[in-house]
Amino acid sequence: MGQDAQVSDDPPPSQPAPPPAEPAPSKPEAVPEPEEIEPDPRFSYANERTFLAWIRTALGLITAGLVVTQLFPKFDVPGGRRLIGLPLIALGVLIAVFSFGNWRRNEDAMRFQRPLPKSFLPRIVAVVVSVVAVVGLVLVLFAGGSGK
Amino acid sequence: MTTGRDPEGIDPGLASERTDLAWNRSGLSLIACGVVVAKGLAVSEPVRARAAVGVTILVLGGLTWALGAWQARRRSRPGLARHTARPIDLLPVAVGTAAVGVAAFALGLFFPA
Repeated sequence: MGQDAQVSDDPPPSQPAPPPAEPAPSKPEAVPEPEEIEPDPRFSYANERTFLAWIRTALGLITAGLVVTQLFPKFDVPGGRRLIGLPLIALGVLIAVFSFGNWRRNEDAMRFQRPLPKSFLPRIVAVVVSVVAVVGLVLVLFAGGSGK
Repeated sequence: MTTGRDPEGIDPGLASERTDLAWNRSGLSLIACGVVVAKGLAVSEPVRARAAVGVTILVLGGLTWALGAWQARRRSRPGLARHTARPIDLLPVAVGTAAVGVAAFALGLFFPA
């Protein structure tokens, strides 16, 4: 690689080697000491696929919410379809918004050799989908519409 | 510092193909979403709002597909193993999906079938 040509032939004498990084405690931006490396492209591809998988999850939730609110027959309870569909769509929007930030944080973590950050999205998905499933079950059992 | 790795020597192998397929599936998901909206517009009011949203989503699906194909071409360019996604490549997908969701939410809230 051509990066080896960076050998400093003439360091300025007034600045010897910088002191080894006093441990600035509070701000994470103040300690970018692990040096930047180009991540393995395979890992970047995997990160990209993870982002796309979240996007598809979001689209699936949005589509499911659309089907519920637009194509389902009405429940006996007014607003029953919205009660199921709108939380799914809102969750989809939330995932779409945060998946990009997650991708970016993962990429930065690999670039600066930090541990991969944790995401709260899986927990949110589990909670919301579980609650919506229970609500849907109750609605179908007890307000299943006049269709029978 | 390349930490002993030779970037030219890294064979992305099937990883780039999997990534290409992931883009294809994402475009298909958007198209499926657009078809659902377009189907809804056939049976209920307001036809115009549904038509606009449905067609917009279908177009977004096509754009996602094109973006994925373009990315795949970048990845497969010989000799450059590190053509990975940049933020500007992925941000439109996230923003577009969020916009579709907001439109879907408004549709469900204000225009239930």
